[in-house]
Parts: sequence; structure tokens; C-alpha cells
Amino acid sequence: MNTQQYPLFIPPEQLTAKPHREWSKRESQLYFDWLMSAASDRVSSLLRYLALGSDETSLDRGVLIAVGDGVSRLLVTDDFSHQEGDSPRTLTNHGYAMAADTGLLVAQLLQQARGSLIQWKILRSPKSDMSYNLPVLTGFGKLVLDPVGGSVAEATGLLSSYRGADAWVKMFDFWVEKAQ
Amino acid sequence: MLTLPAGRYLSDQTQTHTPVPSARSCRSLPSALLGLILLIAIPAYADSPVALKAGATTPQTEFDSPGMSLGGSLSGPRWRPFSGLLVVPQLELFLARRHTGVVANAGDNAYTVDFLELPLLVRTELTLGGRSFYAMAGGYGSLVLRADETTPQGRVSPANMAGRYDFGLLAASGLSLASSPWGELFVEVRYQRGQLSLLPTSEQKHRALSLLLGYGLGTNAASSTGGEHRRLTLKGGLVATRFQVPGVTTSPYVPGFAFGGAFSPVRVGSWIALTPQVELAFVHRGEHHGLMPAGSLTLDDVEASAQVRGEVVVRDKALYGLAGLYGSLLVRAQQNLDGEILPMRNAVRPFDAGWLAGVGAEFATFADATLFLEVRLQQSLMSRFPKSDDVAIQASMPATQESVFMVVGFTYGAPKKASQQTSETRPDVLYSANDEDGKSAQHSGRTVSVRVGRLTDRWLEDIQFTRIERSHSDTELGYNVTYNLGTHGQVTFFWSRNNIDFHGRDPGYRHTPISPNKELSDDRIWCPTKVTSKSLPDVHRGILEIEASYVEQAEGAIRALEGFALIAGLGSGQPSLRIAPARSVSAQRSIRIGYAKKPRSAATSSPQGIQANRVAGQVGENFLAQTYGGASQVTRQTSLGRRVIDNLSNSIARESKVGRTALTRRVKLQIAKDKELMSTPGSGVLNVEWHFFAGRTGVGPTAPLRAALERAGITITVH
Repeated sequence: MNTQQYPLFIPPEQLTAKPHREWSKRESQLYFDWLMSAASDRVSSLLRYLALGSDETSLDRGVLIAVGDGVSRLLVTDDFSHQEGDSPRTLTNHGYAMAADTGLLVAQLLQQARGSLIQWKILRSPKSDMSYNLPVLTGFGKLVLDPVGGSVAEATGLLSSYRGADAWVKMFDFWVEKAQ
Repeated sequence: MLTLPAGRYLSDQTQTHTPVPSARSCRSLPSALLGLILLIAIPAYADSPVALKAGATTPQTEFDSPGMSLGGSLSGPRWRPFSGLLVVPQLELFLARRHTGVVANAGDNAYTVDFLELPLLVRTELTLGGRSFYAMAGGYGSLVLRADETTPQGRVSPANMAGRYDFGLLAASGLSLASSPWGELFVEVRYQRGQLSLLPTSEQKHRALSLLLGYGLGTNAASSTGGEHRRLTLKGGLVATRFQVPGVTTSPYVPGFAFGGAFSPVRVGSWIALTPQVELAFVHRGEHHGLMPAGSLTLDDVEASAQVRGEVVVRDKALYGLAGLYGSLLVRAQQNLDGEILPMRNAVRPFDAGWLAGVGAEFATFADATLFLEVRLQQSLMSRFPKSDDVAIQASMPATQESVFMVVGFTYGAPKKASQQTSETRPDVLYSANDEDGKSAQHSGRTVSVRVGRLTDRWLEDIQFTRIERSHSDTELGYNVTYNLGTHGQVTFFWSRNNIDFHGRDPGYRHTPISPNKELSDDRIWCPTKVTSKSLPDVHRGILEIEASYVEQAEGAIRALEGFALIAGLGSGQPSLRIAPARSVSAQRSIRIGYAKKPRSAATSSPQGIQANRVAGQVGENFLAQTYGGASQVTRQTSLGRRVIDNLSNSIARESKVGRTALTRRVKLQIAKDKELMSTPGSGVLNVEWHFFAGRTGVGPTAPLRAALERAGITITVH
């Protein structure tokens, strides 16, 4: 397992100046483009960090199970989460980044499993949606999946014992089944 | 408005006069009644108040010989050139009996004259301090219906008058003495002067000074009449009929039956009202013996009648009397001759006509139908049996028919509502709270309120909602919404139409300053602006929707503002609703209502905070924490529809409930959505907590709701 610091998740600087809800269309498109261009590298980095190789052509559900095991072990460490008092552990920036990358891995597997049925899009409506202006996966009927946000939530659940190491494989199984 | 004034007329027709005993006219009264009936029928085509007037008349200086007068008025469309002033044309109809006293230059004779007068006036009304003053001016025409002349030798009737008609000018002024939701008491003084000489040997022109005391039923503003007050009545029952000849013993009553229906196109008045109606009925009159040379006679008729019904509404039930004329067509006449049924149409006149009068009472209401019992007497004015050369069919005597009906029936419609205005019937009145459930707000004590804001603020909570009228402010169209503030009187707010949306299509903070009248000049009242739709009939429904919505979303939420802060404290530290400043003249303007936009985190997401982070070289590192750390009033799509989440932090969704909360259909759906979110990996929601805060109705979930929440795995916290 890699002992280097996990790469932080840092989009173009101008996007950090305001919340995603207040992004312009151009800014949301900028983030979308950045995430799409960075996704593959970030997934490779995750796999390398977990010593699972970086060959994206051999990705399958078994790899996701292994990633879940590795991530679940790392997230509870001080590099990826911290604890104040009796409160549940919360993710550090590195923990957020690892969780996000795991979500990107799930997204890649979903697209690999369902092909063009599943597409990345920017959620532009409604404005009140949790993922407004953010990239989401479509192809699940009227439901959408924000793999980054969803994975961050699963990681948070792992820290608070709502979820286990199989959270991401369950996530994959659910949405691959949902794809239509 | 239906008005019933009683007054005294002061005649100035002679300079020397002596009171003359009144000789009542029998012929003029039916004419006047007919005129009044016609007058009452006019409101079906008008959108203005109607006045029905009755009074007395007396010589100018002697005030001790009052006669009778009867009249009414109809006001046309109202024009309000500026606030407080009203201009309205008014048509009146009066039957007046005036005594001239002894006319010196007319042979010391005295005259009693019955007039039918038709004034056409323009009425201006000014409202000051809650009291209305009015003045009227115009012309009139009059017709002499009857005149009696009293000479020293005795009474001469009819008198030989110089003319039968007159015309002249009339001016009047008055003021309202008292006003209530049920009517208006007013006093009026009028002076009129004719242009023609009516007396046979005198050039004296007719002049009269009148003092009227009136009572209007209903008020112009809050409750009046409308053409939508149509109602349909279905009735049936027993009829007992006998035939009689004056001076001759009448036949006994013979039972039969009748059924039919009536239609009322309009209702004039409020809790006392007049209703014209037409009626069609089938009447079977049973076997009458003694009418024919042998056997018995059975009659079947179709009867049509035109009636005027006067009613008094007491506790939502009407007691009424009715009177009118009827005509009937003979459908069938049969003779039972010892069991042999023979047609006998030739023995009976094919038509009949007469008058009818009755009383009735409503005593039960089922949905839109009201059950009533009615008794009426019907008297024909002609013999039902014409003379015939055929002895076999010649009735024993020419006899008029008298029938007593006892019927029960249902009335469908909305006859007893104090007000049911629409934009079609009253363009300036869109809704009155009196309409609600058919009960007067004043009678029932019902309060229609819009409740928003903090407890420490002054809101529209529990203020009696009176009406909504079309209005405009500068060039902006909208509505004046009037509330009754009890001892403070009434206050009217202007709601811009552009700021109105019943359906909440544009969620977010909205507020509109509303300037109340001087009673509240030290304060400002705020109300939700996204309240109504563009559709005028939706005004009422929208008010009720808003009430329901704000009870849950605003009243409760803001009432439990500290609770929201507590929720936020559990999560991201971002309050879901901003705490409004304490109430003060200046601070109150910043109070916000409705949904909260996601507040910016002070140190992380606000531009100022970002700038601070940038200096520290940490730009972007907190991006994911900021993006997914927490939010308020966000939504997430589920297979059951979109779920609005009051607060989301650390992937825990929190729902806030204020007051005792039951397992309603809507709440069930919320639970189902929450359950789906929790069971969906990657939904962003790991767990759901429902927080209950104390409200007027108590605190916490009902037992069924608690059980449902527990079954769904939702955490319950009662604060």
C-alpha cells in the first residue's frame, strides 16, 4: 500500500470561489470538463494507492470489492478522517478525495457494464436538487446518480457505522440493476 | 343592498290646509305592488344594490295625518373617482299618498292624491370616519293613480284633477346611522318640486319635503346580491281541494297530490331577502262528489306560477312566505260514474287562474340540499265549470276552486349565503369570507387567516379575513385584501398580482412590505407574496392553501426557529432558516419567510471566507467538504417524487415538524420517500431524523406516526 499522501481533489480555482449552486452554466461546464478529464487518472491513482494496479481494462466487480476493503481500512485512519471528542469521525480533505475517487470508479464500472446506456450529464434542474450544477450519471429512469457525492455519503456512513466495506459494491449492484 | 326605510313625507302643496282623513285607495296598491315586483326583478341584470322603501306622508305643518307610501330604488354601476367617494346612478319607484289639506284657492276643498313616482337620481357617497354621507339629485316623473276630493258637503271620489301626470326636480341627502354586516340604518331628507299644476282650480304646483328613515339589508362592500344565487327546488305533497260559491255552502275538502319544481334566478338581500321564482307543478285533485249530476269528478292540471318569496334566515335556516299568481291548464278530467270512468273535459274549463300565498320553513340541510316544509293556499278567480247545454255534463253550480297544499321538498343551490360574489356579478368583489361554508364569518366566528412570521412579530395570524377586491397601485394591478382587526377596525393591504402565485412555483425568500392604515402606522405588517394565482376564482382556494402551507412550513418552522438552529448545530452549523432580528420598526423589515435558501458558510463558502482561505494557500482543498458537507432545503428525486429535505448534513437528512403531527397521507408519502433514500446506496442520504417541536397543537408524533417512523427506521427526536 502506498504511503504517500493521497492526491487531493482540487478542481480549477475559480470554481472554489462560490458554492456549486451559484455557478454559472459556464462554470458548471468547466467543472464537468475538468472532472471528465481527471476521472480516469484519479481512478488509476486510487488503484495504485491501494496497490491494485492501474490497468483500467481489467476493472470488474471483484476489483470494486477489493477497493472497498482497502478504502474502508484507510478511511478510519487519521490521514483520511479525524475525530473530535465523542463525535463520529469526519473525513479529511484526503478522505473526501479518496471517497470521490471511489465514486468515479463506480461510475466507470457502471458505464463499462451498461455501455452508452449510462451517460454523464450536468444536472441543471431543479435548482433545489442536491446535485444542481454537478455532473451526474443518467440512464436510471427519472433517478440520477451523483457518484462523487453518493460515494462521499457512503464513506461518511462507513465512518459512522451506517455502512460497511461493501458499500460501494452494493452501490454498483443497485445502480447497475437500475439502469434501463 | 336591500333597503327597507320608513319615512314621513312633508307636503307643501298648499299654504293653508286642514288635515283630511285619509281615504285608502284600493286600486292603487296592486299597481304599486306590481311595480315593486318589477323593480325587484331588475337586480337579476344589475350588479348594484336595491332599496325597497316604505314611509308615510303628512301635511307640511301639521305632521299628524300621515298617509302611506311605498317605494324602492335600484342603483346602477358604481364609479369611484377616488378613494372614499362613490358616484352611482339610482332609479327609484314610489307610491305616495299625499294630503293637500284645505286649498284656499280651490274652493276650500281638500285633496288626497295617490302618486306613482319614478325618480332618476345621481347619488354621491362620501365615507368619512367609517360613516357614509350621501347626496342625490335628479328628476322625477309622477302619475296620479287616484285622487279624492273632500268638500264641505262631503267626499267626492274620484276627484276631477287638472292633469294625470307631473314631472319635476328632486334633491336629497342622508347619512348612515349605523352599519353592521346585516344591514345599514340611515336617515334621509329629500325635497321635490313639480312643474305642472294638478289641482283643478289652482295654479299651485306640487312640492314635498320628505323625511325618510331607512334600513339596508346587507352592505355594499361585504355582502350583496349576485346573479349566481340561482336555486332549484323540487317539491311534492298533498293537496286538499274544495269548490265554493259565495253564499252557498262549500263542498268538503277532497285530498289529492301534487309535485313539481321551482326555479329562482336571483336572490336579493342577505339574512332577509326577496326571491322571485317560477314554479311548474302537476296537480291531481281527487274525486269530488256533488259537482256533477252523477258520480264524482277527478281533475288533473299542470299549473305554472310566478311568485315572490320573502325569507328570513335564522341560524342558516330560512323561514319564508310567498305570494303570487298562478295559471293552470287542464290535462285530464274524468267522471267516475259508479265505477265507469268517463272523460269529462267538456264539463271543465280548460284553464284556470288565481292567486296563491303560503309559508314555509327549512329545517335540515344535506350537502347542497335543504329540506323544507311548505303550506300554501291557492284560490282561483274564475269558475272551473262553464255553462253547457248538455245536462249530462253540466256541473251543479259555477264554483271557484280553493286548494290547500302541504308539500315537502329540497332546495338546491346557495340561497342563504350572505355573499357569493364573482368577478362576473361584482367585478370589484372577488371573495368574501362570508362565503366560506355558507356561513357568515361574523355569524360563525370563523377566522380565515394567513399566518406567517415569528411569534414576536405582528402577522396576519387570527385576523378576521373579510374580503378581497380588485385594485391597483399606480400602474400595478393587484388586490386589496381587507382584514377585520377588531377594535382597530379594518385594515386593507394591497397585494400585487405580480407577486402572487398560489402554487409556489418559485420557491425562495419572498416578502412584500404592506402598509396598513393609520391604526397600525407604528408597525409594518409583512405577508407572503407568493400567495395567489392569476386566476381570480383561485383567490379563496389559494388563501386556504397558503394557510395550510405556512402552518407547516412557516408558522411552525419560524415558531421553532431556535429548534432549527439546534438542528443546524447538529450538522453543518448552518441554520436552515435565518433568525430574524428582534421586532422593531427598523429591524422588522428584514424578516424573511418561506423556504430558506442555503446560507453561505461564513468561513468556507462565502467570498470573504474564500478570500481568507486563499491567503492561507488552501484554495480548493475544501471543495468537496463545501460541496457535500451540508445544505438546507435541498431536494432529491425518488421514485415516489421529489423529497424536500429541511436540512442535510453529514449525509443525514433532518425533517422538522411543529405541533402534534399525525400520520396523514402526505406524511406517509414523506416517510416512504425517506425510506427509499435511506435504502438507496449513493443517494447521498444515509439516515433520516425527524425532529418534533412544540406548537399550538402540542408536540410530537401521534402513536400511528411514531410507529410508522420506527418501522421505517427513521430516528425520532422530540424537543
